[in-house]
Amino acid sequence: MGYTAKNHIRPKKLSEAVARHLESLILEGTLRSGERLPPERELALRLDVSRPSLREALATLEQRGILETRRGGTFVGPILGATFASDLQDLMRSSPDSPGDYLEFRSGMDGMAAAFAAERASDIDLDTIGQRFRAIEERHQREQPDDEADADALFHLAIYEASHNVLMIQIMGGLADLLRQDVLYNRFKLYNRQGVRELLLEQHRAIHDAIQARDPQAARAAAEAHVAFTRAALSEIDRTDTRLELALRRFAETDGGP
Amino acid sequence: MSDASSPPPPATPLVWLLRSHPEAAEDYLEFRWVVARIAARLAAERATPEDMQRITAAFQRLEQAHDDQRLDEEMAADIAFHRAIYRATHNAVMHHIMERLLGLLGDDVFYDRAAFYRHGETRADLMDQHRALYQALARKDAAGAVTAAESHIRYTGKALRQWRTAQARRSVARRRAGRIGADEEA
Repeated sequence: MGYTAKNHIRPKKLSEAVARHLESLILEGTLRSGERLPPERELALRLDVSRPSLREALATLEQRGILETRRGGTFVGPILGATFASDLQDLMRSSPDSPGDYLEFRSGMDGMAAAFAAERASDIDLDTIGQRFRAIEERHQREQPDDEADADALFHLAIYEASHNVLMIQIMGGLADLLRQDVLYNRFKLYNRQGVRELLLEQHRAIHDAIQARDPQAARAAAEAHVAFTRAALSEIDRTDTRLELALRRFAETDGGP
Repeated sequence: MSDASSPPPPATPLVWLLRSHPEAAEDYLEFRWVVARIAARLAAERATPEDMQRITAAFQRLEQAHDDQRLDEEMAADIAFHRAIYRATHNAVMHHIMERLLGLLGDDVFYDRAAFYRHGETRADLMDQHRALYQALARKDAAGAVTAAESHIRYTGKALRQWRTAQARRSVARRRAGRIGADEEA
């Protein structure tokens, strides 16, 4: 009985192995929350499994809340939980300095993510980071602040991915997704500000260069400085906005009243 | 492990994913190492008297359970202690995220916490680390708190790797013991 191999050698059900494989793809960030899976036939071909096995695996993952079926397609569900985004949104509304909190948290996290990326990025990761940086540059030159803000978020996502830490990818990447939806703060306010865009570009360049040079310390310092700048710039913009609002209100009360 | 003894799927898909992929344990501890450093510094700088009361209460509960050798209570107090620290950072975003991850910690996701605690030496080490962290926070020593938090998580990682090695050796020994039984029966 001592060398009974039953539990060790016999492969698990094929559908369970397929489910685990799909889970790994989600965990590592190859498949992302909200993403639509390829049609069943194509996916079965790609994974080289029968359609019944695949269908069983998909049903298992749906039961676990990892996949969801809607509008005829199968999508990756919200990995951080259905209420993660809305809870955070409520938090942003109720707490006066939550954008500051987000950036404070990010400062430390991004510093380490950039350092890990400088140490661990594969050649493929470095390529992606390079491409995403050039996309920022290109949009910057074409004076497209909205597109530039989007490219900005994708650049940071590539760095989280190159950290090769699944929690960094899922949690910081999840926050970056929210940033793209402007849940955390209005990025366009930042990008439309005179002079700010140029500084942001130079900061992204510094992070990019340090990671490409595989210099963890420089990457960390550059990422921390970038987040610190963003935080300072945002609070300055909010302050002047408040001042402007106050001035307008005073103006309305004295001169513009009925 | 048989399917029947598998725990029911938890609410957050990420928890399920991490639970069924033990290779993610190192990533989890590394992530916590990064967060714990930030949290220790902010808590040391910002804890209000009320925060400090909460941290102290959790720490005393931990100490009492440790002295009384009540494992379950000690593990629960351990989590309460860390939660009180995250709360004292006054960073709503970090608190929101860590509340979800601390759920993971209490969940026995990656390792058998009870087995950790049953190991007398490990238990004593963990208590010393919690005490160092508590004392640094009490004297508002940010650098000291960061060092204490950092070495606590690092120690957990080391203990986790040792525990896994020991588990692997144990199953080898179990197989051999089974063979001897078979020899005697033969």
